[in-house]
Amino acid sequence: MRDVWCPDMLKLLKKCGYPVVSLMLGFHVFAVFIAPAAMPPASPLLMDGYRLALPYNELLFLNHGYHYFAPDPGASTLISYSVPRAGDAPVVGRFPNLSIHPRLLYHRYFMLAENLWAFDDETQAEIQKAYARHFSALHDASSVTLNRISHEPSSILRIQAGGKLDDPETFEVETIGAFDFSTEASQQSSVAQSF
Amino acid sequence: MLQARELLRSSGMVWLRQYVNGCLEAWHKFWFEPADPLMLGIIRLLSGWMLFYNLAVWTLDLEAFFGDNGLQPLQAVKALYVNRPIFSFWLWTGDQYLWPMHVVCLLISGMFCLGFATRVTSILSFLITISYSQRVPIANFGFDQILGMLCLYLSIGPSGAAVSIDSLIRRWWLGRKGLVDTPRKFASARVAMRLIQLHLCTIYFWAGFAKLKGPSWWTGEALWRVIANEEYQTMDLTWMAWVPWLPFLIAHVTIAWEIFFIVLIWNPRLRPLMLLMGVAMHFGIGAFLGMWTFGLIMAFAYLAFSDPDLWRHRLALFVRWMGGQSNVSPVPAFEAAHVSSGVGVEDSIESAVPTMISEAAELPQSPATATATTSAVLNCSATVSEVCVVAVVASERSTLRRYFRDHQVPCRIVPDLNSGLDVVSRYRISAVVINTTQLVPANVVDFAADIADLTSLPILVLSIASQQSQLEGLGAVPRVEVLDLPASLRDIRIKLQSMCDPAESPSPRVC
Repeated sequence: MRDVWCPDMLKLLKKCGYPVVSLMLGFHVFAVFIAPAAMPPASPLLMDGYRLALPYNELLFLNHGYHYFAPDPGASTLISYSVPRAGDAPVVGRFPNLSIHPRLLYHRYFMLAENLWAFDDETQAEIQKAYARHFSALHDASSVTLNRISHEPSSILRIQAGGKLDDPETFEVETIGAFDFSTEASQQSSVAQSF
Repeated sequence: MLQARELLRSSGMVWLRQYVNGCLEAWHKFWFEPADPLMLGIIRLLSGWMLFYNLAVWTLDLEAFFGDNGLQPLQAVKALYVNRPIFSFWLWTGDQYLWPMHVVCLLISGMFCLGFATRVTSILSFLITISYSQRVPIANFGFDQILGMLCLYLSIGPSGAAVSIDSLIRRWWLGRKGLVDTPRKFASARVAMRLIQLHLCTIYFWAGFAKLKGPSWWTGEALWRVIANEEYQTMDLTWMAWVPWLPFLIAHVTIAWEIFFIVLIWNPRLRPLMLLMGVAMHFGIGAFLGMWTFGLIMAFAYLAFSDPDLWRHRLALFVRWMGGQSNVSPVPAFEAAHVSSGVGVEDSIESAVPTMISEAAELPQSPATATATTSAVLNCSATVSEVCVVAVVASERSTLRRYFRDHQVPCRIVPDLNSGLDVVSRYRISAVVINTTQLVPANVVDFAADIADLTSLPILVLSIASQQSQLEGLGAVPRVEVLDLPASLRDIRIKLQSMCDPAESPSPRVC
């Protein structure tokens, strides 16, 4: 059976398949190469090439810049939260914190704090709200305040002068906002009661 | 004048044609020359382990990250992906399927790691990897990018053909039929390895180039700023503040290494150094910055640059050290590089291997022949029998090579009698074919006698009628048969098979 159909089929496949596979490989290499090339600043030519390969890269999860610690390693970002408690000191916490184990999970939380600022304002607002909701639920509270903390690495001179990596001066705190979920919770409970 | 111009034009055309053919040949060799899938198997094992570990870690906080109203709400992520071709099955499933789906993904990644039903599980593992990553885009980092890249290429290549349960099942299945599993080579393995290699080159090239945009990499402070970052740090390296030249030097070396990786890695002499530096860098990232997952997955990808022969040898030693019987051939059966040393001509000895075909069939070999061959052959480490073909004329060599390759007959093709003797004494050969064209008949007789002294291999001599009177001496050599030329390739194959196993009917089983 094989002898009957195989030679013709193989010939046909080789004839058509080889150039097709070669072209696909060429395009794939181009797509992989152009994605990081279009990281700003980039010429219109590079951007056009990038747009050409974008659907392919997005489909295969190849749309990456590979700009590790570039162009300049900057301050790291943390997010702190404060949950008020009636008649008591507020519960405070922040992520990432070194109590998160294993290290891979710690990095996931680290990235939640680091990467958020790369997204558009609308997404940022929605995600911040999600963070606030998560931590308020965690502490069984209806409101929470979030802060963004920038932690600047100490310079060589500072360390030589006796400074530490966790000196308070290296932290800069900026309030993200206070989030109140009491209305949301009451709405949810009223919906639940109506059923 | 006109003739001179015509001559010039025709010679230009010849040069152009040769140049284009050379380019096409180089392209084919680079992308499609069949390769040992061993390294893909090892990369699969290690990457599969990382994927499984990644999913196991997600288990610890699954609902927080992947829940519809978790840290990255489903609606917010979906809004990011509007009108974009993003794949993630998590975008279409709700909280009610979260745990069952996650358990299934864990199982599939475990099967992929162990190499079970790898053709299917490799594709599923790639889809799982990108689904998890795209569902939580804010929690991603370099590790996810590299894992996705490796899983993609492992699903393209035959990553389950070695170091896998699949290969054990195959060995058992063939064993039941009385057949021996032989190391195989695949064009798709070469494609997958090349894609990993080129992707790594791209990553480092742009990682290095992007660093050039930042002043701190020029001043050398960048590396200090990384190691002085308390959120990354797992080991106190502030002592470097008193030896500042050290972080500066590392910063400069890092950039130079990253930018030149794309070029220097292809130099066989510099490759070990480049890889060693890379491993040191990534292990440093793991040890000092706590990103072991990222450091390890990058180092695992380096295996695409490794020599599978060396790893076969290492694996065999490891199995022996563990007290087991090694089934891994220390030297793969078909590796032209090993025989070509000393011959000097690139095309002098070729190992014909199946290209698009998954199984390399063996010529039938009688037990007596097999024993005699094995006992006679020195330094024999290959596990497959091959046909040794001696043909002086290059076009005849390539015709025979192509024909045997198409018919899945492993063979080694050499251009002269001395190389043939060398191959017979070094490798496990099941039969010898001599094409007497352009050979001195007396030398052919001597060669056949030498082979007969060394082994009891069947020898098929292809000769034209005018030579036959000079080949009478062959009558005294055992197991020699002469086939008159011209003869069809099919005749040669059937004749060869009947000589190898006279009991078997000359139906084209092998061929």
